[in-house]
Amino acid sequence: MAFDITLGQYIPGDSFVHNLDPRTKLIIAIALIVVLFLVNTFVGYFWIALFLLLATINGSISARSVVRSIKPLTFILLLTVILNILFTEGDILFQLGFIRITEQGVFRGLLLGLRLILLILSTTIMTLTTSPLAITDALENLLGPLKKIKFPVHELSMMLTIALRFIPTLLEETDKIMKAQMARGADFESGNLLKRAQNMVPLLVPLFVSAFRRADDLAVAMESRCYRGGEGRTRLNELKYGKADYLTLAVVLPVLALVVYLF
Amino acid sequence: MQIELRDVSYTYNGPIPVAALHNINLKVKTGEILGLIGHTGSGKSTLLQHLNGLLKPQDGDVLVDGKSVKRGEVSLPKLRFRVGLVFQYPEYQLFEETIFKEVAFGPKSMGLSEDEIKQRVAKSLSDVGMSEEFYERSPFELSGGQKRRVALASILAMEPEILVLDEPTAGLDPKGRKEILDFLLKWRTDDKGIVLVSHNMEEMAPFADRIVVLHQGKVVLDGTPKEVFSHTQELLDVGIKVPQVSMVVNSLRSRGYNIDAGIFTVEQAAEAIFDALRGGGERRGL
Repeated sequence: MAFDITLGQYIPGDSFVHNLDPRTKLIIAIALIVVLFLVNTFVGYFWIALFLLLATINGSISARSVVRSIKPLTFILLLTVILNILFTEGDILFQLGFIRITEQGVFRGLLLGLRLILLILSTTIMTLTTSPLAITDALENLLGPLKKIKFPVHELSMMLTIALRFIPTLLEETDKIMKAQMARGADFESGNLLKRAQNMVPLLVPLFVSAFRRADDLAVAMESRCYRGGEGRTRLNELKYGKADYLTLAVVLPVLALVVYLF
Repeated sequence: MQIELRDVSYTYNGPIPVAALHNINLKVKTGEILGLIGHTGSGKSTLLQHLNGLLKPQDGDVLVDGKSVKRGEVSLPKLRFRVGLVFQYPEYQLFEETIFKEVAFGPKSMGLSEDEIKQRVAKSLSDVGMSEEFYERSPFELSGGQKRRVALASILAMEPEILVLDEPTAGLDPKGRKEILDFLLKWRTDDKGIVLVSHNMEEMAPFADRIVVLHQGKVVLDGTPKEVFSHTQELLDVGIKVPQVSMVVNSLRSRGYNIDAGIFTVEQAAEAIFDALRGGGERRGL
């Protein structure tokens, strides 16, 4: 029962990309997403791809983890490409019965496919080189100004942190309970849909029970350490902007703006 | 029944692969209580899951009465009924409305008749000391120790030939601990075997027939408790707490007293020290 979930796929390292402040990486990732939607040419995408390649190499991210991050979206990717190729009006390249492939269609299909891949890569590079906790920290920090309009920024990020923190735990627990029930003859793999749903009961009940127990324990643990929300709370690891961060932002953001302007 | 692990290796694949077992050779058979010792991360749990086919060996093979698991000669569901695996903190696997149904889950998936199921549930629950008045109660109302015993009964009801237990006494008070261990001693017969995992040597030593020490996915020591405990230093090296008496005996030996090395219970030690002081105990080499 291997759970191959890309969430929480952080691989620790000590590269320039790893060491950047999570806020820098978050800002750049968001900027990249925006730019990817503004740019509509292959040349523009080439420059973005080159930038991502540099970051990938610097963060010593293996080709395997890149492929693994794209894999779950293969279906959507193919669907987008194929639909666009088939249903875009324009100059006909090739025709077979009602299937009509146009020049514009191929162009659009490939462009959108590339856009999707680059979108995934932009976020993957961030999640591969930044721990989930650092990302929520960055999020809380960047959303900070919203506190003025009584938006529960701290609570939100605390919830996010806890959720992220417990995903691996729950997966592990699922695996364990599944095995324990299989040792008692439970069968999770065969039968029709209804039967399978029924067979999940021995897994889901203990899982819920333990999730509630954990929530309870966590609440008590937090209260006994005097947790009372974000007001006046200090952190162990303050986020700090270094020279590298200013430099990166100062270089990357204008370059991205230039890519948008030129292409 | 005999299960043989032959050159079994297992690695967990993930972003960072973890080698859990490395060329393990081990025989487990009925009629024997085998103690498996190793500290966290030594590969104990991975090894256990090979015994009942929850994990298939990546390298090497597992032979059940000579038949290969890898080549599919063994029916895995049947193997799971013959080798009852009690996981650590088994009380977290409880899910049914009543204790009776909980214990009946295993026998039911074996496809036994109603009568047979009833009979087995009654027997296994009485074996672990749960009386009939509990049958219709929810397993979630019980105390921790009782839950553990119900979970144990739920495996026993399948009447396995080999019972594999992962830290069955973890988190129990001394009374609950003794109850479980006493039960296991009673349960074991010539055609039943037990594999017991623990990191507590002192608890296990008195009643294991054989002890296997795992360290970083390898078998470091394999022998009778006597043989294993005479290797005090090796045990300490791999981070295993040695019974206090063994430490005492060993330091006495190193000071030249004529005492047997493989002593691990207080009673044995008392006798041996007494003998050494009285009779054959001239200090050697001094």
